[in-house]
Amino acid sequence: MSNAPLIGICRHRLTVDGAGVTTLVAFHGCPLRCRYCLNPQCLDAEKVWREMSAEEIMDELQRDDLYFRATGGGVCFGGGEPLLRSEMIQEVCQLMPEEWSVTIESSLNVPLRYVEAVAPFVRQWIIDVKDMNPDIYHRYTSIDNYRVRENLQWLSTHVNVEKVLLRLPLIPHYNTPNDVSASRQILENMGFLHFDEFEYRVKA
Amino acid sequence: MEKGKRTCEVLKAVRLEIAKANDIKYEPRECHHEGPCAGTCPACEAEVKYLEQQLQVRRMLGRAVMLTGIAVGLTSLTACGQNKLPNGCENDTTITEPELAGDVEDVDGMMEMPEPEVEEAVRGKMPAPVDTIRPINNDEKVLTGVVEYQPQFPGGIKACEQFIKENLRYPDTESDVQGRVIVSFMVERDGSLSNIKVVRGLDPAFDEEALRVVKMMPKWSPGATDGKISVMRYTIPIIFKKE
Repeated sequence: MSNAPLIGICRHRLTVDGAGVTTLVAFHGCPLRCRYCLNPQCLDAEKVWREMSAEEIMDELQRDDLYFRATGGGVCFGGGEPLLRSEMIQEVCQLMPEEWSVTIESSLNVPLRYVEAVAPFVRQWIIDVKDMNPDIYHRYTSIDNYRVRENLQWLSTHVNVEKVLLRLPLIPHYNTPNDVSASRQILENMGFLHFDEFEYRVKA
Repeated sequence: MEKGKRTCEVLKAVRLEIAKANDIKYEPRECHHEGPCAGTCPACEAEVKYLEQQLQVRRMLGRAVMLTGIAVGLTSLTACGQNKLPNGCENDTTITEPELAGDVEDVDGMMEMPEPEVEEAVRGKMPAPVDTIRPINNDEKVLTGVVEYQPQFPGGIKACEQFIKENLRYPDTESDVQGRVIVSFMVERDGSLSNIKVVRGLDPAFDEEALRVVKMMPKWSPGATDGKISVMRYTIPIIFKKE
């Protein structure tokens, strides 16, 4: 298996992306071009932090084995879009102890086969839905959300919805509280239960 | 409290729980480090190594080790307000505490935001990608536990024995020498071995073979004294037994 490009590995995150103590493994590369991208380095070819093999990633994760086991924590794969590296995630998951929890933080805007590939390993899904309205989504990310909708549909029928947290941000100049409510309604109709509604904060 | 310090406190509490559950003597001293804290440092990492060593000893003695889930409550209680997960705390509002809310304060200085500038309160935000992979506090004046931490072969004593078994060759001599060669070496701060020498030999060919195998070893985990990663001498026996 070849190496995967990363923008960083961040240890000792406390319940911010999964239960317990977690290590965030953030991959380079993303299909979206969000106007307020939080990690723009994931789009810049010159800002790859390191390219690592599954074994090298495991070496970094292994350092916190005690914390993971004691707190029910583990690894969160983020980015960028981690599911673009689903093969690497599979490989790392096959190397790690079963006791570690695996969280995926994704936009789900990827082919379904990438979602299917990692699903057996994932204990927690954190999905950055943005907005379910195709026009709003396209204006904000520059691409369509038909894959997000299809993949959410798949998740709702193939994964325990208790494992899924859907992020619904209020995005200044792109959507309104009514849009957020409309998105939530669509997702509730799909069977999802857990939502994280929050607002992108505009700096003065 | 600054976020790194808070993380440090939580991790220390987790270590204490592990020690308590496994009857391990462990008394972390209060950290007097001033200035920014990454949440961990060489002193904290040395304490983790110490606990790992103690747990390994207990496993080797056939004793039960308590680990899985013993500190679940610690992190969820501490993090209440930042956790939007189904099994967490509140689940419905805008992030109001930047230091608890996914590193929002780390946004400054690393984002080139278009207008209008926005702090996206998403928890997947990567803070300082390069530095955070390693403990950034190399201040060896940080005080920590009272225990001396011995250097360790990667994977522990069993792994060391396995390494020797796989690499040691009985010298091609006509003698029927059997016994042990005692090899001593220094484990440097970076885990490399130096000053490798035979302190009690058997026969020149056997001494040479013992030295060859030790020189092949990968880097060890360094030892620590009074919270400081330090150079330590270590001695191991290399046993020659004709099959």
